Amino acid sequence: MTILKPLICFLMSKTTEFITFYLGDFFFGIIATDVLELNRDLKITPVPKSPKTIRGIVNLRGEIVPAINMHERFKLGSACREDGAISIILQSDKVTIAALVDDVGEIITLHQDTVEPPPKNFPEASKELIVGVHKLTNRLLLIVDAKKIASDLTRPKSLLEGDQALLALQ
Amino acid sequence: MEDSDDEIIMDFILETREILDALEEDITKLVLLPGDRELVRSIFRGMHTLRGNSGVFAFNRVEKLSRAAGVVLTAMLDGSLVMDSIIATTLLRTIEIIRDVVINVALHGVESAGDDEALIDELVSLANPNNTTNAPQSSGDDLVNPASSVNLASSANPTDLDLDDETIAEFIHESRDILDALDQGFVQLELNPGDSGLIAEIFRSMHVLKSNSRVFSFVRLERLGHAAETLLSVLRQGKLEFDSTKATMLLDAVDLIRDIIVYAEEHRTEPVGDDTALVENLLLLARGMNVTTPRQLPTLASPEGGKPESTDAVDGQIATKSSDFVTPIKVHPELLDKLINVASEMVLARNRLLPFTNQYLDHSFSAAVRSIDLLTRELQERMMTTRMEPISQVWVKLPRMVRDIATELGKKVEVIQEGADTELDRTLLDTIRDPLVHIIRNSVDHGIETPAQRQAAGKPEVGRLFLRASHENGMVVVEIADDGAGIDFEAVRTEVVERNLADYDDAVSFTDSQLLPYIFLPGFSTKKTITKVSGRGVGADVVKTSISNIGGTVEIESHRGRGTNMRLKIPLTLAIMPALFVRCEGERYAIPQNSIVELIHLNLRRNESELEDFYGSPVFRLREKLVPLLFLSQQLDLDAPLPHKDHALNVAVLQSNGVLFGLAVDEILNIQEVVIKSIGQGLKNIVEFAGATILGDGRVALILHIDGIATNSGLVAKLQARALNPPADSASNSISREIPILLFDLNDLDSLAIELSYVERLEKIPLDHIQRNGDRDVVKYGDGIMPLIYLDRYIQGAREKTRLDGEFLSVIVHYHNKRPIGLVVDHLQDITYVNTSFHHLDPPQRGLRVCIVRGEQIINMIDLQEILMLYNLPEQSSDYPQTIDMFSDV
Repeated sequence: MTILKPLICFLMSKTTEFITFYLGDFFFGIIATDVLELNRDLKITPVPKSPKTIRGIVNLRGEIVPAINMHERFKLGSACREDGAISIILQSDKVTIAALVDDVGEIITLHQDTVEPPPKNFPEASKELIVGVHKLTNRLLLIVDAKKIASDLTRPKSLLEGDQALLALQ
Repeated sequence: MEDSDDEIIMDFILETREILDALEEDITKLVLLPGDRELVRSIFRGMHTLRGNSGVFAFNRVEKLSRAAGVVLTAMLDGSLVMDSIIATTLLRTIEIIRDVVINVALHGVESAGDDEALIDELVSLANPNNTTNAPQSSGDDLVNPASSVNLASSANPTDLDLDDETIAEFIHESRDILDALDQGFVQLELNPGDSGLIAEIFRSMHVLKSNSRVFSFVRLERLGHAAETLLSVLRQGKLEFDSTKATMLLDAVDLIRDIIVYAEEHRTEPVGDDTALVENLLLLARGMNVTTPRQLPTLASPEGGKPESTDAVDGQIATKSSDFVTPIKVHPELLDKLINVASEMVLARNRLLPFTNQYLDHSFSAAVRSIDLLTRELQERMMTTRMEPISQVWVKLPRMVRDIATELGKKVEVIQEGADTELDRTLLDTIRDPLVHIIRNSVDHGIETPAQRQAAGKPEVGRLFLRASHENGMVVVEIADDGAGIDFEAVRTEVVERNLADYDDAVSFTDSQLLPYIFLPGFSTKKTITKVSGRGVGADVVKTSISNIGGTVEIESHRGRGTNMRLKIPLTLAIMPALFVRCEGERYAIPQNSIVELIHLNLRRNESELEDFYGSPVFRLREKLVPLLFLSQQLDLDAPLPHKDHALNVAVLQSNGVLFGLAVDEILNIQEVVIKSIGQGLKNIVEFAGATILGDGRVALILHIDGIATNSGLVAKLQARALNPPADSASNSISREIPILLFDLNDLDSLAIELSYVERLEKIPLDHIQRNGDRDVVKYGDGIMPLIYLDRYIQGAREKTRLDGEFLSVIVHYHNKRPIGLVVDHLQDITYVNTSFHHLDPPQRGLRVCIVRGEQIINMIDLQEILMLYNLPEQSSDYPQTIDMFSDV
């Protein structure tokens, strides 16, 4: 149900605003209401032994937030920019993440009629993240499900809860 | 709907737990003060609320039990019954059963099955000691049981029961909630007249309202409530159909009740008025007759005209007081944590802003920044207080527990609490609960003697147990003291001898205070010991471990025949703790300071020390002891080459679950207080990290989880399989009465030493860094200046050495009045432990205090005080900053 929600929202309303961003050769859009803010040059602290998709952690106004390497998340095979990456701060179901992208484009308002199912040539592993495609005049806009980006963080029920870890540390 | 139901039940469970805690405390108090009517009233009110609440949720067992207990309490309020220990025990047992039932509700959503008839009978017969046969029998379903109603009504005498303001405010608050629920309920019922569950719910709400009104002797409310209830009970039994006439009538009743409550909120009493018409209509409807008379709302008597039931003077007084009472609201802890985050970010933002006031000399700008500064500080302070809760939260249960244990053992113990409002971090409260229970159990069990023994010893029959909490130097001190027999030191001595913890000759001559530390040894409280040692101290190591886990300390003091005093020093908050920062592969990591034993510089270049191989893992020697070594870069899977054989290593010696190991890092930085934060989603299961912290520059640093690193490296398992050092060694080491000293030599003098406690750091300073400050040699040290003292100039017998360019000075850094002083020596040798049996020097030698014999060697301890005096430091000179952050460059 929750998975379909953005799609339904998106289909129900006639037009939707998207924040667009670039990753390598691809052009993505994300529903604007899922985006908390955009940040440039957040200082990322790498976390050893973390999954490949997590580039590190950042300080977002006192809250520690994982920074997601979107190249890895989409399994694009391309590398994340080493410097000057832009973070799109996404919030869904109490989980806040910083999605690292190469660059951010303009905000596009789109009509629902131009939506199409995801392309077949897109990497299989990241297909679940794409809910649809918009044909713009000169290129394709891939619509990303914001909630699914963080899904691999929440999926494995971690054994160590925060408080337990705190106590164990002492 | 489902969710909100769960939430309401959760609220019920939470509230019930609070009520039960309060009841236990009050009943325990009442046994000591049987005449305290205020206490009886408070217990009665608690029991009544419990009954009302359980009635709403149809928790029949709880309701029946609390009603039966209420009967006993009513008798007490009447004065026909006086609290004694039999009644107390029965009441406490009742509460215990209610607690069990409620726990079952919390776990499974339903009451646990059980038969309480015997207990109810017992309670009822307690209430009527003369007439047990005629006791009011409570039956489950009939909620308007006349017997108990009469009893309750008799208690609700307004002159007898002067209810305090707060309680009335609570009543009004609760009634409004009920009325809102009733409104909704009736409306839904009209749409869905057959819904028997809904009728039952409405009925219960109305019943609670009625019962509450009776307690507060709101006669009109009670009458209206009763009439409405009667109609509802007929509806509930299915004898009549719900229709719009009945709905209208009932809603009228609800409206009228609401009006009365609005009036009561202001005036603390009901308005005068006649509700007979409405009441009769309701009752007629209940009997199945039709009401033809047009409904008419009895007009409310105007506040001015109507004469309140209580006197005007009291009225006015209460009204003014009531405006001070604010109902507390519930806030989710998560929201508070978020606010605290924002507040600490504000502080960082302010720190960035402050330097600008110096750059721009705009007056109004700097004034604005100053007020932001002040506001931020206040915001931060106030936010921190939201984490705090009074220690009474933990203490509440203790008197009850003491009473139970004491009764069981045939002892009499009085609990005296002091400083129950002392506040500490709510996460810490949970952690200290078990240690406190443990200590108190011990105290009552082993410390306090039986009344006979006490009388024989010339003490009052009732033993006393003091609980005292206070703030001291930023720590919370919790003291648990008793006036019992004290620790059985002879049993401790026997145990020490039997377990070979000390030489027999030593053990025999140990004083009591020398024996005390042994009770904290792990394993000192084995099963064997408990049966043998009848004295105190059993399980003291458990207490000590859990308290030191949260960064606290335990002190114990005991005098034979006079009692024992335990002092727990606990930090105010868990969220902040000191940590050592280290660098590894360019990133900073924090190590919690409480796991650090010492920091060493392992120089493999010279042949002073070397890595050895112990079943495939590197080990090094630390004062004749083999210590395994781990490399942080390797543990974190960072692709870094291991250092070469001829490399110097920075090693933090750490302790984890009794395992001592070295952790090699690239660089050791500074110690700093850190705020611990959760590392966040998806990363929590990396065992090497305990959390993260935000540094002053806004960057995040990871906090290492030492236990996790030790376990994950396989070290723990390996050491458990093969002990690295003979166990006897470690046992004697941990309780050595020896002090650590730092050995060094000067030009002509070998075997000089300084107590390690005077040594802050060891430095190597190149000769060309030395600068002159008048006639003093100084070096720049961190942000400040450190004067150098050439020890060879002050110690008798040493020859002054000429130093060459390019040479390095070995410097011992000592802090005197918070300022660093460098003591220049020739060579640093070793840290060693020596016995504290000092020999005085005869004749006295300049710069030397005492000497120690260690094997064939004589070690001279330098007299730092004398040397500093000779050097004649300019005291508190303004040349030196008061505090020096020596690591500000990192």
